[in-house]
Amino acid sequence: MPFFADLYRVSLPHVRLLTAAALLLLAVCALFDSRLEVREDITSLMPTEPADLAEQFALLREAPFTQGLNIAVGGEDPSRSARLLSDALRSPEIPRVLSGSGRPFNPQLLPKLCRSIPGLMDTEAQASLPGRLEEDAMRTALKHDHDLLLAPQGIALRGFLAIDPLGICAGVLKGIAPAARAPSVQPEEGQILSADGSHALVTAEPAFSMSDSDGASKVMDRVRSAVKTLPPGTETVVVGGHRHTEENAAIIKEDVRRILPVSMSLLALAFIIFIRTVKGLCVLLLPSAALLVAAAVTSVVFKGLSGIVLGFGSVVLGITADYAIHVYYALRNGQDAATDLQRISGPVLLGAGTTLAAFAAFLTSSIPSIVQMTVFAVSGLLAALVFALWLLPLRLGPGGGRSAASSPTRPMRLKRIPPALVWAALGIALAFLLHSVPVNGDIRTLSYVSTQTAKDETRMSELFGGLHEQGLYAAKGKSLEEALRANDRIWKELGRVARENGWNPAEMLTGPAQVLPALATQAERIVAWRKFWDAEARAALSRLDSLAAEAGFSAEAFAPFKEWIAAEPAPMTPELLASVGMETALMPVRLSGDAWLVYNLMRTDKAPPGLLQALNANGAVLISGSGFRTAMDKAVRADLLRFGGLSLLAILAMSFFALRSPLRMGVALLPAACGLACVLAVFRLTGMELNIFHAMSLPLVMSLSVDYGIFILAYLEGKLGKETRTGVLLSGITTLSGFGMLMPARHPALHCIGLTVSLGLVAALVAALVLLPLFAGPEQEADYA
Amino acid sequence: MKRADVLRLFTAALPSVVLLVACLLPASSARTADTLEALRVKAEKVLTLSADFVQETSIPMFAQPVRSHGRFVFKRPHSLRWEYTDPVHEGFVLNGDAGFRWDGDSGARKPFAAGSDPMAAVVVGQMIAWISFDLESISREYAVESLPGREIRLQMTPLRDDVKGVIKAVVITFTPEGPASLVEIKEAGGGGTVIRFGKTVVNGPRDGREFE
Repeated sequence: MPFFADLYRVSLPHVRLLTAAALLLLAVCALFDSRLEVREDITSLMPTEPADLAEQFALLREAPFTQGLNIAVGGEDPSRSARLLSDALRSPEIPRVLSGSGRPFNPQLLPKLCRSIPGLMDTEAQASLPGRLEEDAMRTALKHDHDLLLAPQGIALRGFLAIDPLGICAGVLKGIAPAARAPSVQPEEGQILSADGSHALVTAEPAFSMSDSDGASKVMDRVRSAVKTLPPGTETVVVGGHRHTEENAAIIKEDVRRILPVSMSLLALAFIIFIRTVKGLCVLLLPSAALLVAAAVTSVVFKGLSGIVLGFGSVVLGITADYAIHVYYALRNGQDAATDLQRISGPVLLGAGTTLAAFAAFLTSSIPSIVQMTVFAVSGLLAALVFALWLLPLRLGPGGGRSAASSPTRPMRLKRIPPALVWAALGIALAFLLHSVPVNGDIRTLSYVSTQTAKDETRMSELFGGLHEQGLYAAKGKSLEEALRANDRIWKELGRVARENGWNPAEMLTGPAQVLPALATQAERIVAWRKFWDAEARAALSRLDSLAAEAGFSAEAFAPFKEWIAAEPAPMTPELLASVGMETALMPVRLSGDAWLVYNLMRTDKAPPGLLQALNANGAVLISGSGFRTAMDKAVRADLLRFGGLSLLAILAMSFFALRSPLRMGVALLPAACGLACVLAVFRLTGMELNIFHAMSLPLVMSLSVDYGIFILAYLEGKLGKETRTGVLLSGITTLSGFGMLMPARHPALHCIGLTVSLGLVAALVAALVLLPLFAGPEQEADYA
Repeated sequence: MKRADVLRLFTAALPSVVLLVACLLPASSARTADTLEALRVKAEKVLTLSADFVQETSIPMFAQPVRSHGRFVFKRPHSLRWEYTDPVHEGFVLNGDAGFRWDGDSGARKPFAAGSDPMAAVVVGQMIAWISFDLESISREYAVESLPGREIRLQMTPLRDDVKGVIKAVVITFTPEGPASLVEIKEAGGGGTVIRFGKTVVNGPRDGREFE
């Protein structure tokens, strides 16, 4: 069916109108593109399946100290430096800065805190009350109070000891001390200090998302200018997503600045050597047109686009030049453009079909950036196909601006044995290589990290680390009270299991349950507290009066204690915690969207198995660094296997549908198999690990290589002329001039794509141009006709 | 359970530093600013210092004033031993950012670090400020003035509200020869503490065993 020949003939009288329409379309696309929001967000590389992994990742993202920037400040007076830096950081770019309460802990606030202690006393603490009222215990406590009042620090503790002579508040405060601060840090002077006291921690929560590269740049500018306000010689260590984003955006820009001129020069050189006509310039313009359409379509489908996807997709669309090149060579023989177009349309459609089928399989990926990239690439490829088979021939016209080239060759018979032997060898090699090449699912390896940033992260870990043996879990609720209730329930259950296994819960768990229980929990405890004192107060106070006089105290010394146990306790609230300078205790409590999350830490190095089971039974999941990486690795592997396998099947199905002969399929797919084998062999021999970008590039290698095989097969079968070989060579050169130049890129993603595709394409190109012609026999007739 | 450990987490050791400073500061009859500068210069020459003291605590919580005895030893740059010998036996030693404390009940020594113990951190920070006579730091925390009279007396009034809630003022009386002889800590809640120093030795020989 001469569809494209007819289309050409029908459209030829309207070439100007069609060109104008195409330009208008491109202008509209450019308008959409100008509104495209480009993001630098590594989370778009996170698999969204399985659901529990996605949930773990969401919880990790919201966890304390993982949002925004963490800045360690040293110097002679870290607390003062932290205050100075906090003041300098606060700005429209960084509206929220956390560095503790900003004021030292005030012992005078302890009596205020005592009013809420009854609500914080769990069953164990309440069980200790009768023991504190025994005569010997009282005598010991009062002796201690007396000694403490004589010591220097006693001056600051007069009020507290008057309200808490028996150590009831102090006992509870001792229990909640770990919950009131982050692990491996110490609250001092209202600041969070490192374990050695040498650095204070400042957490900056910027107004811009860390996926916004422009915003990240503004935030980092603010950080740099704030750091300059510190005394000379003050050590500052800045870590966080915004720094990564700025660094990655900068390195990608630098890579593009270095690579693009070289790549364009190579393209121009290829154009000068192989084409050398004014009309031929259309060939070079086609990928740009496809890029405009792809970006516009993607911006409509997705609200924002990952910068990585945009970069990768743009390079992918470089392959669309191949269609234009083959059309150009087919038309330049100067015979009948419509016939020539019809002749080339088959291989072009088949090549594009296999590429599209390979990409369509990517849609099954659970990795958002791969899905985005697929939409980008597919829409670009379809646009390129329309341009190449409809508008480009109209602009080129008969002869393509040059003198005649060769006519189609005589049909040749394909040899059967050699391809079968090569496939047998390749099959064994591929099976071995696919099984033995190591896979690395760690997304952290996909970002560029400068030496200085890596050093700073190590330094920060040294100063404020200590989380390596800790896992994280979060209780959730629609309201703060609901989340705190869930947290109390889990905490209680975990404590029970820990005790049953002979562990002290305080050594296993750290969290806000002790310092900020749910109001309902506190109400229950306050009832128990009242009940206890209603029964015991009279006798206990009489005993206290007697023993206090014996110890040298005045009659009114402990009047505040009597008032305290008679008064109605005040529930502990976030506001109250903040008012007594314990804001750090609130850091684990976060509002994420519509849900409240209450984070807790659990030791994972010695945790009894029952603890994890109890956690899971209560609907919470333990997230540890190593566990998360293992789950990530597994999920990425599964995803790669799924979309990689489907992509391969799609290529095979498309080839079978179009070629309908195992022998012809064997020949057409051989360059793809050689390309794949070459990439895997290099990885196997060098010990490199296959990451997600390498893996994304493998189907690309196959779909590009299949094109080479299809065109050479068409040439061997006499459908296309000898210039087909030049066309394939030029296609390879133009593609390699794009991908090959990515190899020296410093950004891991660009480097990985460049390396994988270049290795595969070189091997495929050699196979197509050198190996495939060896399979052709000199017979006069082809068995397909 | 040692409640003192808990309490120390939330307390400042400023008073002990004030007492130490009082002993470190030689007197001057010049105006306050000149006096402070002269004190800073003279304090720089103090390498070691030791003294016995008698402390009298008169506060509303006690039925009667309580008298206690003790001694302290200081050695530049960062070593301090502060101890009570009667009627209680307790104290602490600081060497730079780390040290240990003990009390008479258990006799056990407990190590601590400035970074992990706010009290120690405050002591070290204040020590550095006062021994080096960091006027910027001192003037940030206190208003210092010379009191009239034949004796040389400095009154330090806290500037911070939280400290004001505990200490009304500290008055230090200096001997004409140099070190302080008397420190009065007037408490905001009424009463106060008076410490008399004796047997003061400036730049005496120290072998460092007091700090081990």
